[in-house]
Amino acid sequence: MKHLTEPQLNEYLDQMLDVPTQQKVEAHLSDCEGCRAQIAQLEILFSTLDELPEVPLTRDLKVGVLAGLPKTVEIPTLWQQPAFLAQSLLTVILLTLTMPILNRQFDSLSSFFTFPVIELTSFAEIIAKLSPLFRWDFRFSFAFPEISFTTPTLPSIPISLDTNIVLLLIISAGMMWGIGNFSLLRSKPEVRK
Amino acid sequence: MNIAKDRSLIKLAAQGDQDAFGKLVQLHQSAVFNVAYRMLGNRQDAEDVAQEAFVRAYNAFKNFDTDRPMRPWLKKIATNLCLNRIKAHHPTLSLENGLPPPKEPKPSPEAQTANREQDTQIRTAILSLAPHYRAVIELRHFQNLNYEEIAETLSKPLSSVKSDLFRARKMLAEKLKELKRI
Repeated sequence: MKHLTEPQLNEYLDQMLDVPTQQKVEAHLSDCEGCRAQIAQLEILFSTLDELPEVPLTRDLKVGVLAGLPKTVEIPTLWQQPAFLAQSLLTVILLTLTMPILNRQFDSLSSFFTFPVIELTSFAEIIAKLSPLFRWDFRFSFAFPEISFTTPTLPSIPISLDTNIVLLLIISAGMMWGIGNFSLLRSKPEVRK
Repeated sequence: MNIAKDRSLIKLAAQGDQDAFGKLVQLHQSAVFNVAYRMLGNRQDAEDVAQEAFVRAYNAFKNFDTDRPMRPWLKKIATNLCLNRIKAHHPTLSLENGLPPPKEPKPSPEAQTANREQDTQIRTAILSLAPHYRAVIELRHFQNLNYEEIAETLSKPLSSVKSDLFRARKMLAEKLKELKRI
């Protein structure tokens, strides 16, 4: 009688054989004492390994593991950064204060230049000119709803600003800009998402 | 182990929540440590490897399917780290710290001593195997992986895994017989 091979014995115990082969092995085992002895030996080994107890840990590994993880640093959004907030606030104040002066300057500048009047052809005119070129006739009319725009006016500030104050404000804004950008662009630690 | 809780912790940890990962460490540290202890036989080395396995897992979360259980994945990482460590250091067999008493139910002191001796013999026999044989025994008998999964974990051909496993079992059985005779 031909005995079972070592792979057959192992795969039988590991339940890795297909059903027909498993049935053949079982049929052989019922007749072969030698192969049954080999299976028994392997089964003892399997149960010996199964019975090996787990060794308890004597210390918590959590602290060491967390210390080995890459550091996570919460980077605040732009609006959470004091430098950025201060910059924005100062810009608004500056614009509000200097707007009348800038407006006056712009008016005096614009008097030096005269811009040519550009007559823009409307879309309807283009269509009307092009329509004879085609056989079909375009009859197109579209009316925009009438919307009236009013130029927003800034509140008048009851203070007079001389050039020195404006200069001081611009220098302050410049300093804030420098400090704010230094704070935003400073080297950042590694961040994990 | 609460699977739903485990899964929610895994999802949080995968998003970078280190507190959640700390809780996962506490849940699985013993299992991961035991893999390393069976493979290396030295408590200090096993703790180092277990720790490293968790750090590796954290850094590799993007490759992990968070719907799957974490423990088998951690054990596989630990097994491979052990193999790398053995290759790099060739550690000496060390069970000097002694083995702890088995878990409940508590046997009599005599039986306890006998059990402890038997456990030491089994561990010594495993540690006397070559590292690649140790790994297949660990993955098949302690992590219950099938042949294909072992082959995938060790990046080896299936045929080689089978022959290693069958040979390792034969050698282990012989070593256990020898140790019992002594």
